[in-house]
Amino acid sequence: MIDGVRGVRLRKIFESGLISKRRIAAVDEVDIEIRAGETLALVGESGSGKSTLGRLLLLLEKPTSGEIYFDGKNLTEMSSKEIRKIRQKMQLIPQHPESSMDPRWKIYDSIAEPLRIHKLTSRDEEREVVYRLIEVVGLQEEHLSRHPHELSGGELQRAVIARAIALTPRFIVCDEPTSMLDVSVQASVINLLMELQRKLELSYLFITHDLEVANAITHRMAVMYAGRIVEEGNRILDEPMHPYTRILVESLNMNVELKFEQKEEQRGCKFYHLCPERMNKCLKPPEMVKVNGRRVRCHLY
Amino acid sequence: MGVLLSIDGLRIHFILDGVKVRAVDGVSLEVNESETLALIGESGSGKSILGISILRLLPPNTEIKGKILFNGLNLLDLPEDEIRKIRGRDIAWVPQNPATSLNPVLKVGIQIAEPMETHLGMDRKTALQRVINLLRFFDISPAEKRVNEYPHQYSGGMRQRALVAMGTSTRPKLIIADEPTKGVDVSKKVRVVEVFKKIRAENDKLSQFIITHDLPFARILADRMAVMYCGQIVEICKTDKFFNEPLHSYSKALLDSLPSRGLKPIKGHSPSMVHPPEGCRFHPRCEYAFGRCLNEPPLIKLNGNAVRCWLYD
Repeated sequence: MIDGVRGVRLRKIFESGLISKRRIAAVDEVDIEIRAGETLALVGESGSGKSTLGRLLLLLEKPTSGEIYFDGKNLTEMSSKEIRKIRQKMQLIPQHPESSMDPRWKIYDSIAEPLRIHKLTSRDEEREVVYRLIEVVGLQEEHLSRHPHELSGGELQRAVIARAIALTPRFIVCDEPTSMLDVSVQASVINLLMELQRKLELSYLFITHDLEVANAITHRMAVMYAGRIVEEGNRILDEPMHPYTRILVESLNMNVELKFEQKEEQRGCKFYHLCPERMNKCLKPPEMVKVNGRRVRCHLY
Repeated sequence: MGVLLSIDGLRIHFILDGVKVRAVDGVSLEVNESETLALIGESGSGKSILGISILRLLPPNTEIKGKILFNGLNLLDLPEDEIRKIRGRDIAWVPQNPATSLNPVLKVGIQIAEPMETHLGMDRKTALQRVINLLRFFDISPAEKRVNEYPHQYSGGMRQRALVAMGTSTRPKLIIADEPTKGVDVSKKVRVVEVFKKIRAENDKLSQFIITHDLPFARILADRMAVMYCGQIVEICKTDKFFNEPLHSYSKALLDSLPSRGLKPIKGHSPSMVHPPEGCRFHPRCEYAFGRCLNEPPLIKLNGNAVRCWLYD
């Protein structure tokens, strides 16, 4: 079995209402693989299900069906005790650092919390580990005694990163980690993440709606639309194959508008009603096909 | 083309616990009639404070010096009831956060109608009729139904367009927009761009003052760019020139940090506004810094552009 994280035929259906049920498939039949030491960028618009997919892989959300493998072990069959142990190796860097830190805690305690939960260090060792961590992420000692509101957005995101790597994880889901930051701060946070990947041999699932950020980080990319991955492979932006990806790439010049709405349980290709190249065939759901090392879910291929 | 807004030697200092925070420190710039000026800079550089000061909405613990001339009238000298006639009528403000800027318990239509009732003396019925036209203009449909809805029934994009509708309802001469693309998806930004192009096409006298750190967005809309760093304007430049040959080394560094241009971070840390660096405020992070940079450079005029850097003296 290959090292890394793998999701097989993952589905997550959200239901609401007691009598008339509304069902939304946030993630629908998704196969995804992130190999050890690799970065996969997951791009898509808000509402396309990319964050839910990230949370499924970390088992923060229970999949409706499907399997998740981590280093060949099936997580969906594990007891919660076993999963707790595996969680040390899988971490999340959330979009809003300010809401993921306890506002009443000092930064030191927030960074040390995972070490305490998993009872990995004595108090003296803990101090040493925390000091080493903040050095790695580029924070100063003075930051440790502050509260979250006393840090800038960039500093806070560095603290969140320090906490995420405290347990020496192997796999991190970065959920839009820089979307709330300024361009210059964004550049320094992404550079830090890339440096950590080299040093600690991390795998990343990098969720973003910014194609240029995705392209700057990695060449392997998966494009998500309405709960499904519609295209996946290397250098997608240079040569987009799926009509949706093409429109997404054109929207970079800010002259095309995308209208996105998730219809309930739409049959056929989910992109049908917006696709400039739709055919009769598209009323049937397309399968994922392999073309030149790329995976595309479209009847054109 | 005349000058609509002229800011001259503006200083805004806050006194907090006996410490002086120099949020805006000697800013001079002009916005011409029917011009779009983008004010760019990182968060904490003072750009929103500069925008708010034009509307005179700063808290009372503020020390303000300098002049803000609007149509030749110094806004800083006006008594409160005079400024109220200008604020919301001649100068409109589109706030940063559409989610929290509308009153959640009032129908959106009534909120958009309010400035027209206050400033143009319209009655509620006529104003609401105008609101329906505005909603149609900004693509909020079905307008007849939406006018009676509450903010939570609007999507994020619609709320923002509703705020722009409110701002433009009195046909102002100047519209100040604070970070209109913050938190907006790349694929949805096109819509925001369209809205700003549309209001300009509809009223060719309108001047726009757009506060943003979104460089690609500014590039599409702005005629000129003003770059703010640590409370000062370091460069004012035509948009094309800025993206092709920026003058100030901070502008260059900012452009290099874009993902499409290599994602290079600016070295060093953002300066403190309490104790800003001596001389040129950017010199500790500047790769071209030399001896003269320990003295504060003036804003040097250069072929219609301006830059605050000794390299151009």
